Amino acid sequence: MPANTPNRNYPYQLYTEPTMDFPTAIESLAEAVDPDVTALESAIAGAYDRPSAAMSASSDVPVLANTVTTVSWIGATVVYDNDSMALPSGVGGIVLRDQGVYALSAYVQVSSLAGITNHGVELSFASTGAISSAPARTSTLGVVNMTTYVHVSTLHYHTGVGTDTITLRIWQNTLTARIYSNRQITATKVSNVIGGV
Amino acid sequence: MPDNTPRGYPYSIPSDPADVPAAMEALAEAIDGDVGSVAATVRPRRAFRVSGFSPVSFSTAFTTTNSYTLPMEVNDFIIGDAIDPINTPTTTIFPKFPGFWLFRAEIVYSAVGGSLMERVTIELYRNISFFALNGTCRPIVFPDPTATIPVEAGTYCSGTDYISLRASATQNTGIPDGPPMVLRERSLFGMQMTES
Repeated sequence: MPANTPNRNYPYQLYTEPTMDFPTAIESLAEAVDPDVTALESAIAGAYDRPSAAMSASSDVPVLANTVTTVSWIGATVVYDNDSMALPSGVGGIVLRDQGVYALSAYVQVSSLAGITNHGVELSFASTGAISSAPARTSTLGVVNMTTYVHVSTLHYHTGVGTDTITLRIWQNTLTARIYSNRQITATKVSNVIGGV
Repeated sequence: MPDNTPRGYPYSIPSDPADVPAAMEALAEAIDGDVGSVAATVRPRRAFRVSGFSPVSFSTAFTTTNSYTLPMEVNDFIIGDAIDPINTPTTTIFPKFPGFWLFRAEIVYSAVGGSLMERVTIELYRNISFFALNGTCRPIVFPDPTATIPVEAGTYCSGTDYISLRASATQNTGIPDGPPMVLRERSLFGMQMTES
């Protein structure tokens, strides 16, 4: 009965083997090391190519007053996507597939509106995943005749069980609809979490 | 004639001469070279941060928006040859390797008393197009009129694209204003997330 090395589990024969079969022994060793090195090679390469996506859009879309609205990505330009993550659709966003911690960031430009005094604009991420269902939120004051920019960023964990769709929600509290236009969303995996959290 | 694994590791087959030392040496040498080449691919993730500190002042009164591309002056850190080190202040930072890069930047701004600035924005540019914005309205809060605005986003860089950090200040009262706002410390961080 061959023994195995303690760390990588490579097989080797013992003096107590009933019959020494060197060709089989060396083939077993070679065939054990081979896929192990390939797995390491793949892990190293994967660490340099993290699942990443970004998309941007500039079409004008209204957001009603005091109504939390999912930001539309209809007609969005997919700037980058190496894991089928970007969903350029009306209720789209970015789908996280691979387990790990992701850096998420987004901004939205909200048009100015004449005659409207101080008001707030709020931007938040939403997640369909089990963790951090509302992971980040920011808000800013707007002023008369002034285009407003709202930006949010966070680190977000995806368990790897199923998928986790990240969407962007916007809200504003003027008395009428405002228009949002330029916007961008980014998700890029920054780390694996061995064994989960 | 030995056989080989998919990675080319040789092993004896029953019809080979029973030369155990030679077979073991051949396998060990093959694994050694292969693991060595794989190990040579291990390196830190390429990243950098540069910063600037010299004040950039909105030196004349204005009534609309003034924008400045902010010079970077200091190499805070450069990992894996991500960029060429800054020798003289520059407004263009060239990530040297193609792929998707994550960027984060901050600016510190302050307003000298009396300014009527109504919005300050921070803008990340790739070449001549912005890809991320953030801003704050009513930025002036006395008695401490200093604050920081961050912005973060990812984008693809070809290896010859450049990244710039811009800031804009707007006052909307229609009244020429002064003394000016001053943009102070700023930094730009970049990290390569993919290789293509």
